[in-house]
Amino acid sequence: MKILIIDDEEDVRRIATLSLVHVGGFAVIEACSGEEGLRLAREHRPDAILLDVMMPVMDGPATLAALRDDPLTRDIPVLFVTARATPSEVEDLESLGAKGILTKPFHALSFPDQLKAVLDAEPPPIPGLD
Amino acid sequence: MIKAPIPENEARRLATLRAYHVLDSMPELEFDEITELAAAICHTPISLISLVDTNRQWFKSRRGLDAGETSRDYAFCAHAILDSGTMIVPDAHLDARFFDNPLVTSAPHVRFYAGAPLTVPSGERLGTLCVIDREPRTLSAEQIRAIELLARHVASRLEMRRQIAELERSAPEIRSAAALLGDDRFRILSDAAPVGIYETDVDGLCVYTNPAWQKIAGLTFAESLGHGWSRAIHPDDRDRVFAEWQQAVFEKREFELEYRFRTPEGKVSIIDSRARAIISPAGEIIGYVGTMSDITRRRQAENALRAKEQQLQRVIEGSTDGFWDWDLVTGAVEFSARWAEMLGYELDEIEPHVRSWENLVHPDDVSGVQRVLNEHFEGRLPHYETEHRMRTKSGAWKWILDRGKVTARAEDGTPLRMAGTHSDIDERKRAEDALDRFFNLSLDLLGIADTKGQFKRINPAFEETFGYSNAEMLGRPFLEFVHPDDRARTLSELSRLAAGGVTFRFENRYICRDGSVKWIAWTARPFVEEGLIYTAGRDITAERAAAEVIAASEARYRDLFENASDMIQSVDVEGRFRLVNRAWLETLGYTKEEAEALTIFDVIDSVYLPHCREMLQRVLTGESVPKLVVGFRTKTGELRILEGTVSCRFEDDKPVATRGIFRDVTEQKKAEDELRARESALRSIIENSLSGIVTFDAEGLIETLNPAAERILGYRSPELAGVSASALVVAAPAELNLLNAETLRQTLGRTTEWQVRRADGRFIQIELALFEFETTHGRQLAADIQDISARREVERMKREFVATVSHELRTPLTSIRGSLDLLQGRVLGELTPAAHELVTIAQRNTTRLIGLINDILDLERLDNGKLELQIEHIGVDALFRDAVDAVTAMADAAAIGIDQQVEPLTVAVDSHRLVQVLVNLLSNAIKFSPPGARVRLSAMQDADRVVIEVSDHGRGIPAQHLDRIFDRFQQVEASDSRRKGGSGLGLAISRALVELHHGTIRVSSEEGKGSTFSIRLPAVPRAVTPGDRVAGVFVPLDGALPAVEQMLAEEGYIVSRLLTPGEVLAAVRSGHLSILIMSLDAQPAATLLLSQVRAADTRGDTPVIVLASSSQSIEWLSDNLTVFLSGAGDLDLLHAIRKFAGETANNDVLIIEDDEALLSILRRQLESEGMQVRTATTGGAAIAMIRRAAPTLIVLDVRLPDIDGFDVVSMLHREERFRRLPLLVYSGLSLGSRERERLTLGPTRFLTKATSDDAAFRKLVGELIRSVRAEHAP
Repeated sequence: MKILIIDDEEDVRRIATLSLVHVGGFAVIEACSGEEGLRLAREHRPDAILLDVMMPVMDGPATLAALRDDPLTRDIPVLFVTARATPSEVEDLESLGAKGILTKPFHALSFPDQLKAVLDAEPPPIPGLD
Repeated sequence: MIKAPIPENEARRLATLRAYHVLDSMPELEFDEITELAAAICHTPISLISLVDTNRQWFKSRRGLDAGETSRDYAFCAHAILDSGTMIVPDAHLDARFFDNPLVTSAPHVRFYAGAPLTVPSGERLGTLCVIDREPRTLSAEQIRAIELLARHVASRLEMRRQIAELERSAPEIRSAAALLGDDRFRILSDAAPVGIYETDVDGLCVYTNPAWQKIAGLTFAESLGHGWSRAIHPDDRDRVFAEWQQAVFEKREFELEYRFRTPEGKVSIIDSRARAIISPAGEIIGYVGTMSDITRRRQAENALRAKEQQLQRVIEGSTDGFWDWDLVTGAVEFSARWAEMLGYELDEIEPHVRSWENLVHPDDVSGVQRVLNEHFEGRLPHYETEHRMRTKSGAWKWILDRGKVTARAEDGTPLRMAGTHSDIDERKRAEDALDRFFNLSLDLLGIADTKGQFKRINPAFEETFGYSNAEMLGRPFLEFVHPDDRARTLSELSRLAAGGVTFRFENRYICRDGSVKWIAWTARPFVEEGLIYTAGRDITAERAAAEVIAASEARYRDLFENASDMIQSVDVEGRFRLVNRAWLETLGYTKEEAEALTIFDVIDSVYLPHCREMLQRVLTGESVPKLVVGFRTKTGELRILEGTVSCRFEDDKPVATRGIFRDVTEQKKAEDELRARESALRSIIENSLSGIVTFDAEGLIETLNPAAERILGYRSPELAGVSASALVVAAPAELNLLNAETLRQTLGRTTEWQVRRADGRFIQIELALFEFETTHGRQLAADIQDISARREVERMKREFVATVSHELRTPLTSIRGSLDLLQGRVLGELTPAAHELVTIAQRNTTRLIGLINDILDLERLDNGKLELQIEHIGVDALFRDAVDAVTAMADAAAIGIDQQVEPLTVAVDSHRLVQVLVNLLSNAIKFSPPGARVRLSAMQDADRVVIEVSDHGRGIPAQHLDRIFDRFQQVEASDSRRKGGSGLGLAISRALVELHHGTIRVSSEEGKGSTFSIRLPAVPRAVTPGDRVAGVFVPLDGALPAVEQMLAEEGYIVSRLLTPGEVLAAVRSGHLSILIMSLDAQPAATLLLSQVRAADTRGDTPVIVLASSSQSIEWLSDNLTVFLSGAGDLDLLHAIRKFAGETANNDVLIIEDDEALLSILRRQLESEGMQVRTATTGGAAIAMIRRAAPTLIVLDVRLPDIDGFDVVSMLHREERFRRLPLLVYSGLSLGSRERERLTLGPTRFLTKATSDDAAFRKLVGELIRSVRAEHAP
């Protein structure tokens, strides 16, 4: 399973990658910005995308919107990874069409399991798609 | 004095009294014994048997009292006969009826009175047996009983007497016939006898009188019998006769007395009466027989003889008189020489014939003289005496006193011879005439009175003054004309005169014919030997009235002047004090004498002198000077500041004196100065204060703003004067659900935060400290306000900064933690044991740091109200499970066991947040418990609350920390934070979260024993099903209205208690409420809430009942769905509730029945009739329900388990408002009339269960309801 991580923080990217690769046994592609993430998503067609919310230039929601605009990437499940997780924020993010929300700081050893649990769950109805 | 009212049956009573023939009867031993006994039993000096006659009370027996009768007006007994019981007057001085009664104020000085009425068989109370004392006292019950028994004895004795007398009266003929048969010769003799003969029985009751007796007495035989004979005795002699009779009986001697008889026609005769006892063969007295002769003529003859003797005496003595001796048959008169000389003649110049005399009598006097002469001839005058004029030889007239008497008469009474004298009274007569002229001329009252108090002669001034004719005034004792208040004085003056004293000026009042009162001043001189008093009087009424007016007004002004609290002075034109009053002297410390020696310039302070001189000059020229302030020096040199007015008195346009009235205002001025200084100091402080100060008036409206407050609010002080502060308020402190004076006062002494709108429209945050201060008008409210907008802004920025920083910290922490996790998880290979330990330490501290940051972020959100709850209905057990799961690892590590006890309860909460709270509490419990201890987690229902408790057996919390434990960064010991690994924010967050759930969190703890944290959350009420009627009840400030809730429950509502305005709005928005009841005060916040309720009421028809403590100044929304009840009773509330429930008034029935089956039948029947039914199964419950709200109709079963129907009715009877309630009594057995009476309330009907059918029941209910409606119809 191939996961694309889009995060402007290199350290966070590294930890996530190490966790997903070494603990979860995933293949991981890293992107340091929304733009790079879009490009790599089209290029590699990952099975899931972990998307940071707060990023300079093109933030998480903008990146998601772009992913949804592209037929090549629109069906790839996207999970937000955020340090802010008030219920309304979670709701807002979900309403954008995200598959799920994972909060930072994450627990590196259980992180892959959390990801799997979200991906295995029934897909929520996405407004505007049906 | 209060005169006794006349008894209702007076006419009958008097008739009965007469029928007893006891009035004016002789004393009788038997009655005297009774009064003696009564006096002895009661230890009183006086005891009487009193019979109350038309105008008097007459004493049949009297002990210790001289009077035989008294006026009924004063009679105590007249009061006593009004009632059948014994009348007791313990102290006449204290009794309104008697305190001024003459029998009380003078002899016999009655103080104590007890009288038992004499009730005769026909029921009338004829009088009393009474005992009287001169000391205030009372009687024992035995004594009262004794006189009552004796009174009955008197009554029965009177009755016996009456019956005997009646018997005797009914058969006088029989008696006299029998007497004739028995002793006819005596009777015949006695009938023919010229003397009166009578016979009485042993009690003095007459059994026989002969015709001679009857002739003298003027009574018939029948009238003379029994006590009748005593009527013949002259009233003035009655006592004397009875006393002598008794004495004679007592001494067993012959009765012999001379006294007078008076016939019913008024003819008086003098009789000589004798009687002696008739002794029976057994030696007992069985009666008396007596004789009497009329000695009137004898006595008259004796009197005449005496007169004759006197006349002769006079003839002899009066040597200066002339004599005449007249033979009436021939007309020849023998005149004496003196007789002729008196008229200027020689004796031989007078023909010795009556013609000589006749010719000389003044023609005007002839007829008068003739009349007197004739009367004497006819025997109507005992002698002849006239004063008349006779012509002297010189032709002048001379006054002669002519006296004479017939000295011989023919057998038929024709006068034959007459002799007499002439006295020369000319000189006296002339003097008298002169005097008479003066007498008649006088404007003063001139009169001659006798020493007994009767005028003999008065001049015409009397008639002019008093309006009574001379005849009227002479006919009565003059005391009768004297004002009652002056009679005693007049009497004593009279007695002084009678004893020879002289009156120089005695003043008394007379009552004139027209009722007016005149004051007369008298001088009088007595002539004791003549028994006459000569007096002159003058009407001084006007004088006296004027004098009184003057005296009164003088006294008043004197009093005003002397006692005025103001200083009053009168100063002459030289400045000398003529008059000063007491206040003046006291203020300046001078004596009156000292003041008289002073001048005004001695006392005026030199500073004020020039001004005063100027003022004085102005006043003396007649100018009026307004208020003058002047300084006076006291005797000791002290300065007194006076304020007052000065005026000048002029006589003949010349100033005579100035008058000044001043008030000492020294202290006042000083106090005013001090006050002014203090006020100005305070004002300066307030004006310069950096704090805004707002004062409020008694109504809570803004009064003033200081400059700082003006700056803060942007308004000028006058712009806000009289404005309600709430006009500025945008947001009040959260804890004040309502804005009113009462809730505001709760903030006294602490600081609250408000958001207000400035004049420029800007919202600012202010900090407000309310305080009260004393003013002369009472306590006043003021507020110290500070604009804390800037401070709050800084705080906000600080919080945001913290939040941002915290957030920013998370990113690096993510990396750190991830790295440590991976290392510790040996994902990248094995670590040395030392490295592993270090990684573990780093990881633990990272976790703690993350927890701290999370807590800070939570608090920041709570502070900003940004923390939102995801409320769901969830079982408490699920919450417990999640919380326990979260702490299991920690508990295991600390070797702590967790016990759970949970009931199946549902709460409406954000489960994530509530679990957070529980985890926090559990973690604390675990942290502070010793290893091996147990922590307990439990949940239970308490009324409408779910109570969750977390308790441990740890070290507990010292009492002094308990109230701070929920504050931020509070841990029991500073070191706890580090040692136990907490942020110090957990409990603060927990409290904020619980409160966000409308819950409360509390802690109880005992040091060394453990702590218990209790969370109380609103329970989710039982599910409301469609058709249920839900009543929302909102009482601010944790209050409750149990009575209202009870009433709503009785009315079939499910009560939902709403705790905050937010809950109220949510409940209204839900559309479930059938009715909303709010207890609100008349405040803008209440108006706001009401308008919000209306806005939230999407259905638009939720009825609202507002219970307001007062209805003043409410700007309520008016709509027909809102009812305001101010100070209303429960009944009004009930009507309002029912009105909204769409029910007709007056169809509320309360069924009181303990049989459930019967109850449900009755209920169905009544409901089918359109009744609103309430039920009670016990009498007690019914009473409570009726008190809460009276029903229109009560259906009552007589037999009830606790108190029965009789008790219910009698309890309702005790309260006025329930006495008219319609009632349908339902009983198993038919009821008797007495029982029915006891069960009757308002309109009441009775039904017997066994015999009644539904139709009868419905008919009666219908009837009762109609009668109620008829009563309520306009």
